[in-house]
Amino acid sequence: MSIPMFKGLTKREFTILENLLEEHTYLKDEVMFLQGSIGRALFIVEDGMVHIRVHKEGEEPKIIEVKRGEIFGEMALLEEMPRTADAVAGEKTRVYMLYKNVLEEIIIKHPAIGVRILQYLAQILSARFRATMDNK
Amino acid sequence: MTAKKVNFNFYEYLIPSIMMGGILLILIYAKGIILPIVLSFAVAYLLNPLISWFEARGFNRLFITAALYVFITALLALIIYIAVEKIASETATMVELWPEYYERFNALIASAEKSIISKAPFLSGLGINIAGITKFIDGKVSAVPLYIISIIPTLTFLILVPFVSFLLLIDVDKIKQSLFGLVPSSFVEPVQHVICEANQSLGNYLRGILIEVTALSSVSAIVFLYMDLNYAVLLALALGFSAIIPYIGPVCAGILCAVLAFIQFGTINSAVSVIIYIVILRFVDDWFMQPYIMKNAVQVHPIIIFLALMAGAEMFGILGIIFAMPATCIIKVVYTILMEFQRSIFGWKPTPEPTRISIPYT
Repeated sequence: MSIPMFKGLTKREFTILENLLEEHTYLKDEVMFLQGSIGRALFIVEDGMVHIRVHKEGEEPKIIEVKRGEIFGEMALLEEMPRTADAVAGEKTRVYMLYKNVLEEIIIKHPAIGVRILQYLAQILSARFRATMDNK
Repeated sequence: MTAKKVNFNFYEYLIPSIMMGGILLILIYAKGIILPIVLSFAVAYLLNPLISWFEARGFNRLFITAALYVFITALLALIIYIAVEKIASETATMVELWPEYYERFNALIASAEKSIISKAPFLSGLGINIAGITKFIDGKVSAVPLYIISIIPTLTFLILVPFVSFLLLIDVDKIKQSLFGLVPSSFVEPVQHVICEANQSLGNYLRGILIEVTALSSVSAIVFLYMDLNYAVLLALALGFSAIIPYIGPVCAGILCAVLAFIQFGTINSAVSVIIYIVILRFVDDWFMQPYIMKNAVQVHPIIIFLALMAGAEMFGILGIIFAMPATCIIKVVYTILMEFQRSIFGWKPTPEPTRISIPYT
Protein backbone atom coordinates (compact mmCIF):
# COMPACT_ATOMS: atom_id res chain seq x y z
CA MET A 1 0.00 0.00 0.00
CA SER A 2 1.54 3.31 -1.06
CA ILE A 3 -0.29 5.38 1.57
CA PRO A 4 1.79 5.36 4.80
CA MET A 5 -1.31 5.74 6.97
CA PHE A 6 -2.60 2.39 5.72
CA LYS A 7 0.71 0.54 6.08
CA GLY A 8 0.42 -2.47 8.34
CA LEU A 9 -3.26 -2.99 7.56
CA THR A 10 -4.26 -6.32 6.10
CA LYS A 11 -6.09 -6.40 2.76
CA ARG A 12 -9.34 -7.12 4.58
CA GLU A 13 -8.83 -4.21 7.00
CA PHE A 14 -7.99 -1.88 4.12
CA THR A 15 -11.19 -2.93 2.30
CA ILE A 16 -13.25 -2.19 5.41
CA LEU A 17 -11.58 1.20 5.79
CA GLU A 18 -11.92 2.08 2.11
CA ASN A 19 -15.68 1.47 2.32
CA LEU A 20 -15.91 3.91 5.22
CA LEU A 21 -13.85 6.70 3.67
CA GLU A 22 -15.38 9.25 1.31
CA GLU A 23 -13.62 9.80 -2.00
CA HIS A 24 -13.62 12.95 -4.09
CA THR A 25 -11.72 14.32 -7.06
CA TYR A 26 -10.80 18.02 -7.12
CA LEU A 27 -9.73 19.69 -10.34
CA LYS A 28 -6.64 21.92 -10.51
CA ASP A 29 -7.03 25.16 -8.51
CA GLU A 30 -10.26 24.05 -6.84
CA VAL A 31 -10.43 25.21 -3.23
CA MET A 32 -10.77 22.32 -0.77
CA PHE A 33 -11.15 24.49 2.30
CA LEU A 34 -10.34 28.00 3.46
CA GLN A 35 -8.41 29.25 6.45
CA GLY A 36 -10.87 30.01 9.26
CA SER A 37 -13.55 27.53 8.16
CA ILE A 38 -14.47 24.82 10.67
CA GLY A 39 -12.62 21.60 9.92
CA ARG A 40 -14.65 18.45 9.55
CA ALA A 41 -12.45 15.90 7.80
CA LEU A 42 -8.93 14.60 7.54
CA PHE A 43 -7.74 14.49 3.91
CA ILE A 44 -5.54 11.71 2.54
CA VAL A 45 -4.06 12.39 -0.90
CA GLU A 46 -4.74 9.28 -2.96
CA ASP A 47 -3.43 10.79 -6.17
CA GLY A 48 -2.27 14.27 -7.24
CA MET A 49 -0.95 17.18 -5.21
CA VAL A 50 -2.38 19.83 -2.88
CA HIS A 51 -1.09 23.31 -2.03
CA ILE A 52 -1.45 24.34 1.59
CA ARG A 53 -1.30 28.13 1.88
CA VAL A 54 -0.61 29.55 5.30
CA HIS A 55 -1.49 33.25 5.59
CA LYS A 56 0.17 35.42 8.23
CA GLU A 57 -0.41 39.13 8.60
CA GLY A 58 2.28 41.19 6.91
CA GLU A 59 3.94 38.16 5.35
CA GLU A 60 3.78 36.50 1.94
CA PRO A 61 1.64 33.34 2.07
CA LYS A 62 3.76 30.28 2.66
CA ILE A 63 2.95 27.43 0.27
CA ILE A 64 3.53 23.82 1.25
CA GLU A 65 3.01 20.90 -1.13
CA VAL A 66 1.19 17.80 0.05
CA LYS A 67 1.95 14.88 -2.21
CA ARG A 68 0.50 11.45 -2.91
CA GLY A 69 0.07 9.35 0.25
CA GLU A 70 0.42 12.31 2.64
CA ILE A 71 -2.31 13.63 4.91
CA PHE A 72 -3.51 17.09 5.97
CA GLY A 73 -6.36 18.61 7.97
CA GLU A 74 -5.83 16.13 10.79
CA MET A 75 -6.77 18.66 13.50
CA ALA A 76 -10.42 18.34 12.40
CA LEU A 77 -10.46 14.81 13.80
CA LEU A 78 -9.22 15.92 17.19
CA GLU A 79 -10.72 19.37 17.76
CA GLU A 80 -13.47 21.30 15.99
CA MET A 81 -11.13 24.23 15.44
CA PRO A 82 -11.03 26.61 12.47
CA ARG A 83 -8.62 25.58 9.70
CA THR A 84 -5.20 27.21 10.02
CA ALA A 85 -4.53 27.33 6.25
CA ASP A 86 -6.16 27.21 2.80
CA ALA A 87 -5.99 23.98 0.81
CA VAL A 88 -6.10 24.20 -2.99
CA ALA A 89 -5.68 21.36 -5.50
CA GLY A 90 -2.30 21.85 -7.23
CA GLU A 91 -3.38 19.48 -10.00
CA LYS A 92 -6.24 17.06 -10.57
CA THR A 93 -6.29 15.42 -7.15
CA ARG A 94 -8.14 12.47 -5.75
CA VAL A 95 -8.54 12.42 -1.97
CA TYR A 96 -10.00 10.23 0.71
CA MET A 97 -11.86 12.09 3.46
CA LEU A 98 -12.08 10.66 6.97
CA TYR A 99 -14.75 12.26 9.17
CA LYS A 100 -14.73 12.34 12.97
CA ASN A 101 -17.94 10.30 13.32
CA VAL A 102 -16.50 7.64 10.98
CA LEU A 103 -13.27 7.49 12.98
CA GLU A 104 -15.35 6.97 16.13
CA GLU A 105 -17.25 4.15 14.40
CA ILE A 106 -13.95 2.57 13.28
CA ILE A 107 -12.51 2.76 16.80
CA ILE A 108 -15.58 1.01 18.25
CA LYS A 109 -16.27 -1.55 15.53
CA HIS A 110 -12.77 -2.20 14.16
CA PRO A 111 -10.33 -1.37 16.98
CA ALA A 112 -7.31 -2.80 15.13
CA ILE A 113 -7.80 -0.29 12.30
CA GLY A 114 -8.65 2.49 14.77
CA VAL A 115 -5.44 1.93 16.73
CA ARG A 116 -3.39 2.03 13.50
CA ILE A 117 -4.98 5.35 12.46
CA LEU A 118 -4.57 6.95 15.89
CA GLN A 119 -0.99 5.71 16.11
CA TYR A 120 -0.20 7.24 12.73
CA LEU A 121 -1.94 10.51 13.69
CA ALA A 122 0.08 10.69 16.90
CA GLN A 123 3.31 10.13 14.91
CA ILE A 124 2.40 12.86 12.42
CA LEU A 125 1.44 15.34 15.15
CA SER A 126 4.64 14.61 17.03
CA ALA A 127 6.73 15.06 13.86
CA ARG A 128 4.95 18.32 12.98
CA PHE A 129 5.39 19.65 16.48
CA ARG A 130 9.08 18.73 16.45
CA ALA A 131 9.47 20.54 13.12
CA THR A 132 7.74 23.62 14.57
CA MET A 133 10.07 23.58 17.59
CA ASP A 134 13.13 23.13 15.37
CA ASN A 135 12.11 26.10 13.20
CA LYS A 136 11.69 28.43 16.19
CA MET B 1 -8.53 32.89 14.61
CA THR B 2 -12.14 33.68 13.72
CA ALA B 3 -14.22 32.26 10.90
CA LYS B 4 -14.19 34.32 7.72
CA LYS B 5 -17.48 35.90 6.72
CA VAL B 6 -18.63 34.52 3.39
CA ASN B 7 -19.82 37.12 0.88
CA PHE B 8 -22.69 35.63 -1.09
CA ASN B 9 -23.12 36.78 -4.67
CA PHE B 10 -26.83 36.68 -5.53
CA TYR B 11 -26.29 36.11 -9.27
CA GLU B 12 -23.96 33.17 -8.63
CA TYR B 13 -26.79 31.28 -6.97
CA LEU B 14 -29.56 32.33 -9.40
CA ILE B 15 -29.35 29.38 -11.82
CA PRO B 16 -28.99 26.71 -9.10
CA SER B 17 -31.97 28.29 -7.29
CA ILE B 18 -34.10 28.17 -10.47
CA MET B 19 -33.11 24.52 -10.98
CA MET B 20 -34.00 23.66 -7.39
CA GLY B 21 -37.31 25.51 -7.79
CA GLY B 22 -38.05 23.48 -10.94
CA ILE B 23 -37.33 20.20 -9.15
CA LEU B 24 -39.55 21.27 -6.24
CA LEU B 25 -42.41 22.14 -8.64
CA ILE B 26 -42.12 18.72 -10.30
CA LEU B 27 -42.22 17.06 -6.88
CA ILE B 28 -45.26 19.11 -5.83
CA TYR B 29 -47.26 18.42 -9.01
CA ALA B 30 -46.16 14.80 -9.39
CA LYS B 31 -46.01 13.86 -5.73
CA GLY B 32 -47.07 10.30 -6.60
CA ILE B 33 -43.51 9.62 -7.74
CA ILE B 34 -41.97 10.60 -4.41
CA LEU B 35 -42.84 7.38 -2.62
CA PRO B 36 -41.52 4.89 -5.24
CA ILE B 37 -38.36 6.99 -5.54
CA VAL B 38 -37.88 7.10 -1.77
CA LEU B 39 -38.50 3.34 -1.57
CA SER B 40 -36.04 2.72 -4.40
CA PHE B 41 -33.40 4.81 -2.64
CA ALA B 42 -34.10 2.91 0.59
CA VAL B 43 -33.66 -0.48 -1.13
CA ALA B 44 -30.51 0.71 -2.93
CA TYR B 45 -29.24 2.17 0.31
CA LEU B 46 -29.72 -1.09 2.20
CA LEU B 47 -28.10 -3.23 -0.50
CA ASN B 48 -25.23 -0.88 -1.42
CA PRO B 49 -22.88 -1.82 1.47
CA LEU B 50 -23.12 -5.49 0.51
CA ILE B 51 -22.45 -4.77 -3.18
CA SER B 52 -19.55 -2.43 -2.31
CA TRP B 53 -18.10 -5.17 -0.12
CA PHE B 54 -18.03 -7.59 -3.07
CA GLU B 55 -16.84 -4.86 -5.45
CA ALA B 56 -13.90 -4.11 -3.16
CA ARG B 57 -12.94 -7.78 -3.51
CA GLY B 58 -12.69 -7.49 -7.28
CA PHE B 59 -16.21 -8.43 -8.39
CA ASN B 60 -17.86 -6.51 -11.23
CA ARG B 61 -20.57 -4.20 -9.83
CA LEU B 62 -23.13 -4.94 -12.55
CA PHE B 63 -22.56 -8.68 -12.25
CA ILE B 64 -22.79 -8.74 -8.47
CA THR B 65 -25.91 -6.50 -8.43
CA ALA B 66 -27.66 -8.77 -10.96
CA ALA B 67 -26.58 -11.87 -9.02
CA LEU B 68 -27.86 -10.36 -5.78
CA TYR B 69 -31.23 -9.56 -7.37
CA VAL B 70 -31.51 -13.11 -8.70
CA PHE B 71 -30.60 -14.45 -5.24
CA ILE B 72 -33.13 -12.20 -3.45
CA THR B 73 -35.86 -13.11 -5.97
CA ALA B 74 -35.14 -16.83 -5.48
CA LEU B 75 -35.11 -16.41 -1.69
CA LEU B 76 -38.38 -14.47 -1.73
CA ALA B 77 -39.91 -17.09 -4.04
CA LEU B 78 -38.87 -19.80 -1.59
CA ILE B 79 -40.27 -17.86 1.39
CA ILE B 80 -43.50 -17.15 -0.49
CA TYR B 81 -43.72 -20.82 -1.54
CA ILE B 82 -43.39 -21.91 2.08
CA ALA B 83 -45.48 -19.13 3.66
CA VAL B 84 -48.03 -18.48 0.93
CA GLU B 85 -50.10 -21.56 1.68
CA LYS B 86 -50.37 -20.61 5.32
CA ILE B 87 -51.07 -16.93 4.61
CA ALA B 88 -53.49 -17.75 1.76
CA SER B 89 -55.44 -20.20 3.89
CA GLU B 90 -55.50 -17.70 6.75
CA THR B 91 -56.65 -14.92 4.42
CA ALA B 92 -59.31 -17.17 2.88
CA THR B 93 -60.56 -18.16 6.33
CA MET B 94 -60.52 -14.51 7.34
CA VAL B 95 -62.67 -13.50 4.35
CA GLU B 96 -64.99 -16.45 4.98
CA LEU B 97 -65.30 -15.91 8.71
CA TRP B 98 -65.32 -12.12 8.68
CA PRO B 99 -69.17 -11.81 8.66
CA GLU B 100 -69.37 -14.34 11.49
CA TYR B 101 -66.68 -12.47 13.46
CA TYR B 102 -68.55 -9.26 12.78
CA GLU B 103 -71.81 -10.75 14.13
CA ARG B 104 -70.01 -12.23 17.13
CA PHE B 105 -68.41 -8.87 17.82
CA ASN B 106 -71.84 -7.15 17.69
CA ALA B 107 -73.29 -9.78 20.03
CA LEU B 108 -70.43 -9.28 22.48
CA ILE B 109 -70.90 -5.51 22.45
CA ALA B 110 -74.68 -5.90 22.94
CA SER B 111 -74.19 -8.29 25.86
CA ALA B 112 -71.60 -5.94 27.37
CA GLU B 113 -74.10 -3.06 27.04
CA LYS B 114 -76.84 -5.11 28.77
CA SER B 115 -74.48 -6.20 31.51
CA ILE B 116 -73.28 -2.64 32.17
CA ILE B 117 -76.82 -1.22 32.31
CA SER B 118 -78.05 -4.06 34.53
CA LYS B 119 -75.21 -3.46 36.98
CA ALA B 120 -75.39 0.34 36.77
CA PRO B 121 -78.91 1.30 35.59
CA PHE B 122 -78.19 5.01 36.18
CA LEU B 123 -75.88 4.94 33.13
CA SER B 124 -78.85 4.55 30.78
CA GLY B 125 -80.39 7.61 32.41
CA LEU B 126 -77.20 9.60 31.94
CA GLY B 127 -77.58 9.19 28.23
CA ILE B 128 -74.38 7.26 27.59
CA ASN B 129 -74.76 6.39 23.97
CA ILE B 130 -73.41 2.81 23.91
CA ALA B 131 -75.30 2.22 20.68
CA GLY B 132 -73.49 5.17 19.14
CA ILE B 133 -70.11 3.82 20.29
CA THR B 134 -71.03 0.41 18.86
CA LYS B 135 -72.01 2.01 15.56
CA PHE B 136 -68.69 3.87 15.43
CA ILE B 137 -66.69 0.68 16.15
CA ASP B 138 -68.89 -1.23 13.66
CA GLY B 139 -68.04 1.29 10.98
CA LYS B 140 -64.30 0.96 11.66
CA VAL B 141 -64.37 -2.86 11.93
CA SER B 142 -66.43 -3.35 8.76
CA ALA B 143 -64.07 -1.03 6.88
CA VAL B 144 -61.00 -3.22 7.60
CA PRO B 145 -61.28 -5.23 4.32
CA LEU B 146 -61.54 -1.90 2.44
CA TYR B 147 -58.33 -0.67 4.07
CA ILE B 148 -56.61 -3.89 2.97
CA ILE B 149 -57.91 -3.48 -0.60
CA SER B 150 -56.76 0.16 -0.68
CA ILE B 151 -53.15 -1.06 -0.25
CA ILE B 152 -53.31 -3.14 -3.48
CA PRO B 153 -52.43 -0.28 -5.92
CA THR B 154 -49.16 0.13 -4.05
CA LEU B 155 -48.27 -3.40 -5.18
CA THR B 156 -47.21 -1.86 -8.52
CA PHE B 157 -44.20 -0.67 -6.50
CA LEU B 158 -43.10 -4.31 -6.45
CA ILE B 159 -42.04 -3.90 -10.07
CA LEU B 160 -41.07 -0.23 -10.09
CA VAL B 161 -38.97 -0.17 -6.92
CA PRO B 162 -36.62 -3.10 -7.73
CA PHE B 163 -36.11 -1.72 -11.25
CA VAL B 164 -35.24 1.83 -10.14
CA SER B 165 -33.10 0.62 -7.23
CA PHE B 166 -31.19 -1.70 -9.60
CA LEU B 167 -30.37 1.27 -11.85
CA LEU B 168 -29.33 3.32 -8.81
CA LEU B 169 -27.11 0.54 -7.52
CA ILE B 170 -25.17 -0.06 -10.72
CA ASP B 171 -24.44 3.66 -11.19
CA VAL B 172 -24.13 4.82 -7.59
CA ASP B 173 -20.62 6.25 -8.01
CA LYS B 174 -21.46 8.10 -11.24
CA ILE B 175 -24.62 9.55 -9.63
CA LYS B 176 -22.62 10.64 -6.58
CA GLN B 177 -19.91 12.25 -8.71
CA SER B 178 -22.46 14.07 -10.91
CA LEU B 179 -24.26 15.43 -7.85
CA PHE B 180 -21.01 16.53 -6.24
CA GLY B 181 -20.08 18.19 -9.53
CA LEU B 182 -22.89 20.67 -8.79
CA VAL B 183 -21.48 21.55 -5.37
CA PRO B 184 -18.86 24.34 -5.13
CA SER B 185 -15.51 22.69 -4.31
CA SER B 186 -15.06 24.38 -0.92
CA PHE B 187 -18.50 23.06 0.14
CA VAL B 188 -17.72 19.43 -0.75
CA GLU B 189 -16.25 18.74 2.70
CA PRO B 190 -19.23 20.09 4.72
CA VAL B 191 -21.81 18.58 2.32
CA GLN B 192 -20.08 15.18 2.53
CA HIS B 193 -20.18 15.64 6.31
CA VAL B 194 -23.98 16.04 6.26
CA ILE B 195 -24.33 12.95 4.05
CA CYS B 196 -21.89 10.99 6.16
CA GLU B 197 -23.75 11.77 9.42
CA ALA B 198 -27.19 11.15 7.87
CA ASN B 199 -25.87 7.96 6.31
CA GLN B 200 -24.61 6.66 9.63
CA SER B 201 -27.73 7.35 11.67
CA LEU B 202 -30.22 6.36 8.96
CA GLY B 203 -28.26 3.21 8.13
CA ASN B 204 -28.26 2.22 11.77
CA TYR B 205 -32.00 2.94 12.00
CA LEU B 206 -32.92 0.93 8.87
CA ARG B 207 -30.73 -2.04 9.74
CA GLY B 208 -32.04 -1.94 13.33
CA ILE B 209 -35.69 -1.81 12.31
CA LEU B 210 -35.16 -4.69 9.88
CA ILE B 211 -33.73 -6.86 12.68
CA GLU B 212 -36.51 -5.75 15.04
CA VAL B 213 -39.35 -6.53 12.58
CA THR B 214 -37.87 -9.95 11.76
CA ALA B 215 -37.32 -10.87 15.43
CA LEU B 216 -40.75 -9.67 16.62
CA SER B 217 -42.58 -11.37 13.72
CA SER B 218 -40.76 -14.68 14.16
CA VAL B 219 -41.21 -14.89 17.94
CA SER B 220 -44.86 -13.79 17.70
CA ALA B 221 -45.61 -16.35 14.97
CA ILE B 222 -44.30 -19.16 17.21
CA VAL B 223 -46.23 -17.87 20.27
CA PHE B 224 -49.50 -17.30 18.36
CA LEU B 225 -49.29 -20.72 16.72
CA TYR B 226 -48.72 -22.22 20.18
CA MET B 227 -51.78 -20.28 21.46
CA ASP B 228 -53.72 -21.75 18.51
CA LEU B 229 -54.79 -18.27 17.46
CA ASN B 230 -56.42 -18.00 14.02
CA TYR B 231 -54.41 -15.97 11.45
CA ALA B 232 -51.33 -16.47 13.65
CA VAL B 233 -48.85 -15.64 10.86
CA LEU B 234 -50.76 -12.58 9.65
CA LEU B 235 -51.11 -11.25 13.20
CA ALA B 236 -47.43 -11.96 13.93
CA LEU B 237 -46.45 -10.02 10.80
CA ALA B 238 -48.76 -7.16 11.82
CA LEU B 239 -47.19 -7.11 15.27
CA GLY B 240 -43.67 -7.22 13.81
CA PHE B 241 -44.26 -4.44 11.28
CA SER B 242 -46.04 -2.34 13.91
CA ALA B 243 -42.57 -1.60 15.35
CA ILE B 244 -42.02 0.72 12.37
CA ILE B 245 -44.62 3.12 13.80
CA PRO B 246 -43.43 4.08 17.30
CA TYR B 247 -45.92 3.99 20.21
CA ILE B 248 -49.09 3.94 18.07
CA GLY B 249 -48.19 0.89 15.96
CA PRO B 250 -47.65 -1.64 18.78
CA VAL B 251 -50.77 -0.38 20.63
CA CYS B 252 -52.98 -0.79 17.51
CA ALA B 253 -51.49 -4.20 16.66
CA GLY B 254 -51.87 -5.29 20.29
CA ILE B 255 -55.54 -4.24 20.39
CA LEU B 256 -56.18 -6.03 17.08
CA CYS B 257 -54.60 -9.28 18.36
CA ALA B 258 -56.43 -9.10 21.70
CA VAL B 259 -59.82 -8.35 20.07
CA LEU B 260 -59.42 -11.22 17.57
CA ALA B 261 -58.39 -13.60 20.38
CA PHE B 262 -61.42 -12.48 22.41
CA ILE B 263 -63.78 -12.99 19.45
CA GLN B 264 -62.24 -16.38 18.58
CA PHE B 265 -62.25 -17.92 22.05
CA GLY B 266 -65.06 -15.83 23.54
CA THR B 267 -63.26 -15.53 26.88
CA ILE B 268 -61.59 -12.54 28.46
CA ASN B 269 -58.69 -14.77 29.55
CA SER B 270 -57.60 -15.33 25.96
CA ALA B 271 -57.45 -11.58 25.30
CA VAL B 272 -55.61 -11.03 28.59
CA SER B 273 -53.02 -13.71 27.76
CA VAL B 274 -52.41 -12.09 24.36
CA ILE B 275 -52.06 -8.68 26.02
CA ILE B 276 -49.65 -10.11 28.63
CA TYR B 277 -47.55 -11.65 25.85
CA ILE B 278 -47.47 -8.33 23.94
CA VAL B 279 -46.56 -6.37 27.09
CA ILE B 280 -43.67 -8.80 27.77
CA LEU B 281 -42.62 -8.58 24.11
CA ARG B 282 -42.64 -4.76 24.23
CA PHE B 283 -40.71 -4.81 27.50
CA VAL B 284 -38.02 -7.07 26.06
CA ASP B 285 -37.95 -5.01 22.84
CA ASP B 286 -37.81 -1.60 24.53
CA TRP B 287 -35.37 -2.51 27.30
CA PHE B 288 -33.08 -5.10 25.76
CA MET B 289 -33.31 -5.16 21.96
CA GLN B 290 -33.71 -1.50 21.05
CA PRO B 291 -30.92 -0.11 23.27
CA TYR B 292 -28.57 -2.55 21.51
CA ILE B 293 -29.72 -2.38 17.88
CA MET B 294 -30.65 1.32 17.87
CA LYS B 295 -27.74 2.60 19.99
CA ASN B 296 -26.15 4.51 17.11
CA ALA B 297 -29.37 5.71 15.48
CA VAL B 298 -30.68 9.27 15.89
CA GLN B 299 -32.44 9.90 19.19
CA VAL B 300 -35.71 11.74 18.63
CA HIS B 301 -37.94 13.22 21.35
CA PRO B 302 -41.37 11.49 21.69
CA ILE B 303 -43.20 14.79 20.95
CA ILE B 304 -41.29 15.12 17.68
CA ILE B 305 -42.14 11.47 16.87
CA PHE B 306 -45.87 12.17 17.36
CA LEU B 307 -45.69 15.35 15.27
CA ALA B 308 -43.81 13.47 12.54
CA LEU B 309 -46.39 10.67 12.52
CA MET B 310 -49.25 13.16 12.26
CA ALA B 311 -47.50 15.12 9.52
CA GLY B 312 -46.77 11.87 7.63
CA ALA B 313 -50.42 10.81 7.90
CA GLU B 314 -51.58 14.23 6.72
CA MET B 315 -49.30 14.21 3.68
CA PHE B 316 -49.21 10.59 2.48
CA GLY B 317 -51.73 8.65 4.60
CA ILE B 318 -50.72 5.23 5.94
CA LEU B 319 -47.48 5.18 3.90
CA GLY B 320 -46.62 8.60 5.34
CA ILE B 321 -46.92 7.13 8.83
CA ILE B 322 -44.65 4.23 7.89
CA PHE B 323 -41.93 6.52 6.52
CA ALA B 324 -42.27 9.20 9.19
CA MET B 325 -39.39 7.85 11.31
CA PRO B 326 -36.68 7.48 8.62
CA ALA B 327 -37.62 10.92 7.26
CA THR B 328 -37.40 12.40 10.77
CA CYS B 329 -33.93 10.84 11.23
CA ILE B 330 -32.66 12.54 8.07
CA ILE B 331 -34.34 15.87 8.87
CA LYS B 332 -32.87 15.88 12.39
CA VAL B 333 -29.32 15.23 11.19
CA VAL B 334 -29.60 17.80 8.40
CA TYR B 335 -31.10 20.35 10.81
CA THR B 336 -28.34 19.80 13.39
CA ILE B 337 -25.56 20.23 10.83
CA LEU B 338 -27.18 23.21 9.10
CA MET B 339 -27.53 24.95 12.44
CA GLU B 340 -23.88 24.19 13.12
CA PHE B 341 -22.97 25.79 9.76
CA GLN B 342 -25.13 28.78 10.58
CA ARG B 343 -23.41 29.17 13.93
CA SER B 344 -19.89 28.77 12.60
CA ILE B 345 -20.28 30.77 9.34
CA PHE B 346 -22.21 33.68 10.82
CA GLY B 347 -20.45 33.65 14.19
CA TRP B 348 -23.51 32.65 16.25
CA LYS B 349 -21.27 30.39 18.28
CA PRO B 350 -18.03 31.55 19.89
CA THR B 351 -14.94 30.02 18.31
CA PRO B 352 -13.99 26.97 20.37
CA GLU B 353 -10.99 27.30 22.62
CA PRO B 354 -8.06 25.09 21.67
CA THR B 355 -6.85 22.56 24.21
CA ARG B 356 -4.02 24.23 26.14
CA ILE B 357 -1.37 22.43 28.14
CA SER B 358 1.47 23.78 30.20
CA ILE B 359 3.81 20.79 29.88
CA PRO B 360 6.33 21.45 27.10
CA TYR B 361 7.18 19.05 24.28
CA THR B 362 9.58 16.41 25.60
